Amino acid sequence: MANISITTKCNKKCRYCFASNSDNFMEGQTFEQTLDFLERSGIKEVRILGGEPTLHPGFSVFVRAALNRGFGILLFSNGYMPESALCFLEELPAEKVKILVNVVTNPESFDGLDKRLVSLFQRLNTKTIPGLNIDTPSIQLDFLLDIVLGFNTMRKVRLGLAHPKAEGGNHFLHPRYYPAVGRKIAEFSSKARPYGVGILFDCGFVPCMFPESSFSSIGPEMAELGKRCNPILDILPDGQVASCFPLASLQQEMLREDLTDTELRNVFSKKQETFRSMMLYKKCSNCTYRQHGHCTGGCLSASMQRQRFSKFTLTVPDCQGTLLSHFF
Amino acid sequence: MLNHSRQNRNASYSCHPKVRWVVEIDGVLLIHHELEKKKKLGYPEAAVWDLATQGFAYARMVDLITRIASVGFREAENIVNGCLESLAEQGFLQKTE
Repeated sequence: MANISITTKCNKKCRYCFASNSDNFMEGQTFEQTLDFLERSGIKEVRILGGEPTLHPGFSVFVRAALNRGFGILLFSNGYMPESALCFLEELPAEKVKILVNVVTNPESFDGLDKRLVSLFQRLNTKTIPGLNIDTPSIQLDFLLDIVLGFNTMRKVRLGLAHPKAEGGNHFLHPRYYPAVGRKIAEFSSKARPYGVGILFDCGFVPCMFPESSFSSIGPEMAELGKRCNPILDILPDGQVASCFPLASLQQEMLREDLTDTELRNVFSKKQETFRSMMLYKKCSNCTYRQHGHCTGGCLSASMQRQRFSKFTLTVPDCQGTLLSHFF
Repeated sequence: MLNHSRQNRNASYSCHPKVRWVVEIDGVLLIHHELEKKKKLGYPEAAVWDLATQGFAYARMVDLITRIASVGFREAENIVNGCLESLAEQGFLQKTE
């Protein structure tokens, strides 16, 4: 797996976003090099994201190039795409293209869904998976089930947690709110399961955020939930590769012709080895989920926010030992 | 335990600027971003670190360690000095004499 950010340009200003919302566009040659990298790594799916990737002037050319080389496409979009991109995606075969539509406005109900999104789901229905990035504990999830059932999308919803950038500066869901979010997801899951609608969890979820009684309703995904903080490989518009967007400031590597995804992941894993001892909560070091290998301690970037620093200096006086020895 | 109490005269220990730490339920984890190494401090060394970061003076720190670790002054001194010396050797603290 590797994500390709073809642009940082976006038509929304989500407060949790990692991208800078600027006119950075991946060049055609870099995109071809990226496809070469995926091919030699044995990866069959091109995961295209942004910013809003459909705003790239060469969006359809890129998608067509990937399809011509036999890749499947997974597109991450906020749904507010130009009409030309919408028409283009309508024409593509559903078995080759999936579109994860991240509903950025979190409407309180299905009725509050923006008209443009309604139109998108109507036209791309079976190619889409609705999703939400959770950046507040006061979320409503039921509208996602309504979208799936109302528009006949794929029988899945994607949920992500808004993570902090390692260097800070973006809004994120503080881990203290995870249990509140976990309860809402558990409730949602119990409503969605009877309709055959499953949840695709993005990285950073941890088992302890969910009530244990909900593990069975969440399904088989639960077993892997806490283990998903590894180098994903996010390829940036300039061809640099980061372990993931939140950790992009920590280390970036060039997409070299001799590297495969496994080799690149190993480079990032080695660099992160020291930091991996940091975990999401104080209690993680004694946690049974971690001890039994069900959790690795959550998002590394979120864990790094716990780091403290102070410029202390402690002077040890020259009389120490001598003076104290008088007491004995 | 080694007796460090007379080895650190006129010494100052300051936190290396690239060192960060996180408090765990069973101690303190130090991360050295420049040397890319980590060190877990358990009890009572974690208390020494915590007191140092709070700006306690040496004598007060030793006094508190006698109570925290239920030991005499000499042993508390050894604990504090041993911890400081060891962390300086490993690069987490910078020592000046």
